[in-house]
Amino acid sequence: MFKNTNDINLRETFCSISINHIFGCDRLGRDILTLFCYGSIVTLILAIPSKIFSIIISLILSLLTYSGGRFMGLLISSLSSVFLSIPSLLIALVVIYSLGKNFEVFLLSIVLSDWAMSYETIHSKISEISNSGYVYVSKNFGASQFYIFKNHIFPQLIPILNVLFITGIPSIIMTIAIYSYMGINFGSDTFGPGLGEQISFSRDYFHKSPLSVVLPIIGIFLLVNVFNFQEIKKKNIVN
Amino acid sequence: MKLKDESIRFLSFIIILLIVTSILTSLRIKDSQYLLTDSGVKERDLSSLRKIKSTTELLSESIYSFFFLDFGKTLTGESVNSHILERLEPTFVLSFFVILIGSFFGILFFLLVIYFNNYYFESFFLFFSKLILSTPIFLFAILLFIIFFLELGFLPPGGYERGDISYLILPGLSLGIRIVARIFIFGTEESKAEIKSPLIRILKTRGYSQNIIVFKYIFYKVLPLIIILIILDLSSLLSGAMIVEEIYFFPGIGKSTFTAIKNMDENLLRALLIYSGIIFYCMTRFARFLQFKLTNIYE
Repeated sequence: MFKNTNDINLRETFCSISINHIFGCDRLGRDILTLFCYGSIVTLILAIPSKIFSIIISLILSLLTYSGGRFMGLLISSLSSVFLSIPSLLIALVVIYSLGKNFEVFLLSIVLSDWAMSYETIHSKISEISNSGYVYVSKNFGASQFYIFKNHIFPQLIPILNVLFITGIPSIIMTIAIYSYMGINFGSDTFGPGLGEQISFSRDYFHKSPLSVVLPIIGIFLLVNVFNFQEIKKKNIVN
Repeated sequence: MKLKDESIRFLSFIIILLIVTSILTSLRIKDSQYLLTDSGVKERDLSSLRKIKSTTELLSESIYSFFFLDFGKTLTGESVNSHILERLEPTFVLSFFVILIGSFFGILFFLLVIYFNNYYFESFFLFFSKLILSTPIFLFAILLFIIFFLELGFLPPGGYERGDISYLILPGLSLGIRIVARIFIFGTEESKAEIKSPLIRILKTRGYSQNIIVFKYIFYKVLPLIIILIILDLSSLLSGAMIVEEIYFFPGIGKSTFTAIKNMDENLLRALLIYSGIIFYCMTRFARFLQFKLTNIYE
């Protein structure tokens, strides 16, 4: 059923729905269902590790802010403000256009465009916990910063990290779709065009093959909303 | 003390912004000779192009440009300042158009939902608002392009002409639809919390009409917070809506940024990074200041 996404067959341009092509073919005769499946897989391959790395980096920087004194705090929060103030797409495009289109660069670009938001959440939670009464008492009893972090801060951060992971993936999926729409794809030799590129490629031929535009749109929408549904479940559990 | 803190914060923001700008610019302009491959430039003339600037050189250039507001020329020989000024008008027009339609419909929908207090009516709007917020903007842009240009042929596919509102409708709707959804969700939640307040309960027991309660008391109570939300949205719009401007060939700051990245235009990229950083920072700080004034809460 799954064909090579880069197989161009001009004899099957805009072929109609059949057993061989359940959703028909696009302008280059490529099977729309195959493009859709591979496009979705490559989106997930990028989105999940990117979010994990983004959270790890944010957590490390939040800890540095917590333990590093006033200067370190000011430095990291200014860095976070800068990354929040420059459009994330701009940062990501500069990184990808400059360093290439391999997996590590994609990961780096997504992490750079995403870490500041996670940092702000984790940092504010750490501030809230470290200003609470029991941490104050703990400090007065002589507890070290490491002890406070291990026994008071980290256990309370786990649910937040969970929520950050689940809530962050939809926005990363949207970012990957935007990259792909702009022609920046990861692994296009193996997986073919991403969902965004499929839309951009087929939008001018909407009359002849509406499914080649509609299916990737549904794909992006489903991927985002599967995680949004998980987010609602997770929030209910946390509550 | 607050002014001192704010000044330190701004100063450190500017220093880090200039450093980040220099790093990003130095990343982007490496090996830009290939752009001139077919231009007939001779070997000896390439010597100046071969010199790759270090991040330190770029940092000193960024500091000079920032303090003297002199960003040099773009690759096409146009002054960077005049290039940006030329694009500011369409960006401002589009941003205000988006804010106008977004806030008008957002406020209208949440007031209607609160006024009629109907479960199905509210669920319907809430469902669509969540749907909109979980869908990338460019999908709306594509769908609107297909419907209004390819299918119906009502509106132009893109571009911008001064005084012609038809060029603003498609990009404006694509960007504004998210603002409608955000204001609706936020306004409904805030209003519902407000309905439970003792003041509204007293007004109800005194027999005030639903009209007065919703459109006078609740609306005025929620409005300041919605204004803050609008300012935050405006700040990101003024920094340029890159993807929507690219889809509709809209000659704004966003499209200019994308072109600067693609063409490795060092001066333009530097100027746009600094411009968008400062606009966003100032607007968000202003929104926080307003929030403090309106709610007396400060970090």
